[in-house]
Amino acid sequence: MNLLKLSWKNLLSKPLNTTLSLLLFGLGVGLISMLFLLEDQIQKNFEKNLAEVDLVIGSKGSPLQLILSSMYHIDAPTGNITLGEIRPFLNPKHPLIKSALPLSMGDSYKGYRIVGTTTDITDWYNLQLAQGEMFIHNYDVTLGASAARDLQLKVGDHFKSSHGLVDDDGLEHDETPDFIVVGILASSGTIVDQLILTTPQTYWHVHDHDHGAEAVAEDEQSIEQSDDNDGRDREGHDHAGHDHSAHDHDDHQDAHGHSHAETPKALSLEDDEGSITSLLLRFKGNNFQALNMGRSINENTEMQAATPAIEINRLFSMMSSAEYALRILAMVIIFVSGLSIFISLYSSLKDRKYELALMRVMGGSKSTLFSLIILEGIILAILGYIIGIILSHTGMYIIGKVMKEDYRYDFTGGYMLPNEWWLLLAAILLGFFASLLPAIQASNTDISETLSRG
Amino acid sequence: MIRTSQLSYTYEGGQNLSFEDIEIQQGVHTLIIGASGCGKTTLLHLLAGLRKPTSGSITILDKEITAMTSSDIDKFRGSNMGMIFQVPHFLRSLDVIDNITLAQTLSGGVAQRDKVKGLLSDLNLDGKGNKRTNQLSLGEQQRVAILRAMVNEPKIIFADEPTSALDDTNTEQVIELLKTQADKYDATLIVVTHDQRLKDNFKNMISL
Repeated sequence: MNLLKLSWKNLLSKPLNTTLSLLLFGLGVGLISMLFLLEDQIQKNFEKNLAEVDLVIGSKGSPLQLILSSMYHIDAPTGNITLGEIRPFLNPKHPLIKSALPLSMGDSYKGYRIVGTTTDITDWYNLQLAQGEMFIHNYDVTLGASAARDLQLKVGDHFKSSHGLVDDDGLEHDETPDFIVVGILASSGTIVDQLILTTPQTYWHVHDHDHGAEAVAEDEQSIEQSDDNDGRDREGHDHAGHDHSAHDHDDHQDAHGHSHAETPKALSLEDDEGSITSLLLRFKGNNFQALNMGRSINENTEMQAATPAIEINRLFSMMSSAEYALRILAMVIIFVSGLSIFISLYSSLKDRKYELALMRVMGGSKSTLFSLIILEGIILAILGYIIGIILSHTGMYIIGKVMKEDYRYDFTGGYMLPNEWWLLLAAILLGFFASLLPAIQASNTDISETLSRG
Repeated sequence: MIRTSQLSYTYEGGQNLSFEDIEIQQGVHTLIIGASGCGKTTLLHLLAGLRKPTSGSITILDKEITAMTSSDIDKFRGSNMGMIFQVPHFLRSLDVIDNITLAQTLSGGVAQRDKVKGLLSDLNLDGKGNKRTNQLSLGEQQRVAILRAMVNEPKIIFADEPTSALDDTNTEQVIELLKTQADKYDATLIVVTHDQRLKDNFKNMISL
């Protein structure tokens, strides 16, 4: 019968007090650990998607929204900007700009965002193909790893997009051709894992189809006709041995596939009216003129420019005040749980006075009694800590699931942070201090007096 | 084996008790008898090192316990003295065996569960080892308390009013049990009581 076992049995013998102390302690620790986890993962998620973007250009509005939608794909996309407006920034010979990445957004497939961009995106996010190839033609899509996995799409599969970012059958672009999966990216750990990539021009096609049904129908016919001719010419070479009706069918298929499988021009060669949602820029070095570019865009054009570093800092500082409030709340809960351990131990002393005296009679010293009570406090703290950690990590796991459905972000409860080990130390210290006074009281029990009173 | 010299104790209220010098030889079971309130229990607690005398000295087994530190006395008491009280008390959160092995570990020894089980069956307490102490009858509790006092094979057994709550038959049984157990372990039994019935059971008697 050692002291540890004895303290454990003592705790078990007052299940109500023990449960209350454990729950309070667990809640406090759980809340703090949850804050640690959230902070860490939000920061990590933001950092790994910075992609060295120096400036984001989009339509006027909230700069934070522009950054969140263009770089993190969490907020709704801002309005459009036209190629006419951004053409200067697309010029590869621009003295300040190292590279520019156009983004068209607003459509989705089963909640996964479809982004119209150029294949330059592979350099920006260090992307590698796992299967197939990058999108070349309109309506070709290359899928991020998580999107492909969750949507269960493979190379060669077809699907129709829907307007907006929610999964809603009513918003499906019925009239448009199917998207065709031509490639799947290897997981990069960035937001691109959650995206469906295609050409910017595909966006124009999809929305032309939707808005001017007649004009588009005509358009399509003319394209189809010209493609039909192409098709016939080609088919003509191996005419023999084929059934005529089968040919028609083949032709039609071929033509249909072909009409959309056009290879789009470089964006800088498209007409001024073409629009995209935003443009990510990387500067050459960090010179003063580059820094002024954002201000100049905001003052002199109908567009806005936002600097990711500034907006993300602003977001973090907004979050940190909420986090501060939660942290105070957690501290209060932990303080109350410490108090509950103290009260529970202190009030048990009165009932246990005779037992403590008996322990002295049997050879236990004052320090034995002191250790016994301290051990009870520390056991409570450690168990409470474990409960708290289980709570927060399970909570994080659930949040991760929800976040993935809503925002396509990966959160996980599957690892321990260094801060959580410090939290264990703090928990043990709290257990120690909560039991200190009762322990001193216990060790000073007047045995003779107690025994005489029976 | 036990020798006191000019022992006195002053209560917090200022009341002063002086005790005549006592000398008890090893193996001589002794009855210390006196009316209620004459300081019997105080003397017992002084001898067991549970209280420090205001003046005078106590020598037990050639060790002057009045000169020891508090924790040395605790250790000395744990391994050399067994104590039995009028009403048996136990640690409620522990079962019978754990209550007894606790006496072994607290005095610095190792828990010997098998030995304790054997001792329990010697006292007709078979199968009670895993019960809570409050599930036992008072007689059984008294026997467990005696066993607990003996488990470290102490040289001295102090019993404080062990019989005052018992009828004649039970009194006889408990005293006989105490004596046979003490003899078995070669221990000296010292009973402090106001119970006149015990006078005939002891050859050596000290009246306060």
